[in-house]
Amino acid sequence: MRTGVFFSALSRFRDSPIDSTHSSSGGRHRITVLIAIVFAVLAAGFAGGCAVKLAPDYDKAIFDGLTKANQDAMVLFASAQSGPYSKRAAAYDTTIGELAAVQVQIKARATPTPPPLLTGFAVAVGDKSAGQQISDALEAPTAGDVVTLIRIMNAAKRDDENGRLKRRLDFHVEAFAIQMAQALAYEKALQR
Amino acid sequence: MGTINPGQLVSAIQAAATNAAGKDISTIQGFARDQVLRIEKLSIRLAEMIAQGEFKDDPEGQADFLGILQDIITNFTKTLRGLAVITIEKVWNAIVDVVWKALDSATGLALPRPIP
Repeated sequence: MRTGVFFSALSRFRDSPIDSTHSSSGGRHRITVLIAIVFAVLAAGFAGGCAVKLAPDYDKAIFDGLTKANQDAMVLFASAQSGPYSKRAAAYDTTIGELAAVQVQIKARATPTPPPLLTGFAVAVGDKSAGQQISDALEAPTAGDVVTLIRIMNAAKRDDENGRLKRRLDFHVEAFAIQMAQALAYEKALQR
Repeated sequence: MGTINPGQLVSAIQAAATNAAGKDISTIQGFARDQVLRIEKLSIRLAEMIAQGEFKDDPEGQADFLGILQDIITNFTKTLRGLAVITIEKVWNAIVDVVWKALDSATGLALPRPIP
């Protein structure tokens, strides 16, 4: 369909003067426009006729979910220096539950298919693993980030339960903050 | 019906690419610098904990902490890759947009547009 429209336009171009107001330089303009069209054909071929989409759409619910889990985790860590574990047990479960819910939303988010240029390249070089590597490279990193955030919360919960958290709290807090910063940086960048 | 000036088109493409990538690149550089420093401090802290015998009676805990550090480093590289991919997407689409507009202007036609 797109190809048909394009070639229709091309034939209209062929049958019409390019720049009637500058007839003395019409030949040069015709060549210039032809070069431009060749470039456009190449670009259309590369892009498959569409704007390239290499990363998923921004999802406010995912960003907000991460932000909420981050706030709740920091409140929990701030309270970890005082009182028994039993007072915080439910808060751990709540935060881990929030992160698990975000994980479900991330997995439900549509991932764009690799553009024809990249898949075509993989086929052209005859490397079967290249296609998989391209798909891996285009995969949003947030799902892995959330897995690690849950792992950190579970480790903190276990240490709290065993009376070890106070000595290890700074590691948990900073590990969680670094990992959350990665997740939020990527999700914010999707807002393009 | 207009024409395409090759010099102007090249300049427009360069401007579009620079505009699309410039801010992203400085943001990624700042993010990467901050992450590397924080990961370095976290690694030093874990080394201190191990050296001080924090995990003497908790080898599983030590393995878990080392695993978390490894996850954070792996995820950092994947995040950098993801941010770079987003920037490449912006640059690519900015260039295609400039070329399509030039074509429309030169031919007087509404050539098939890239679908956003």
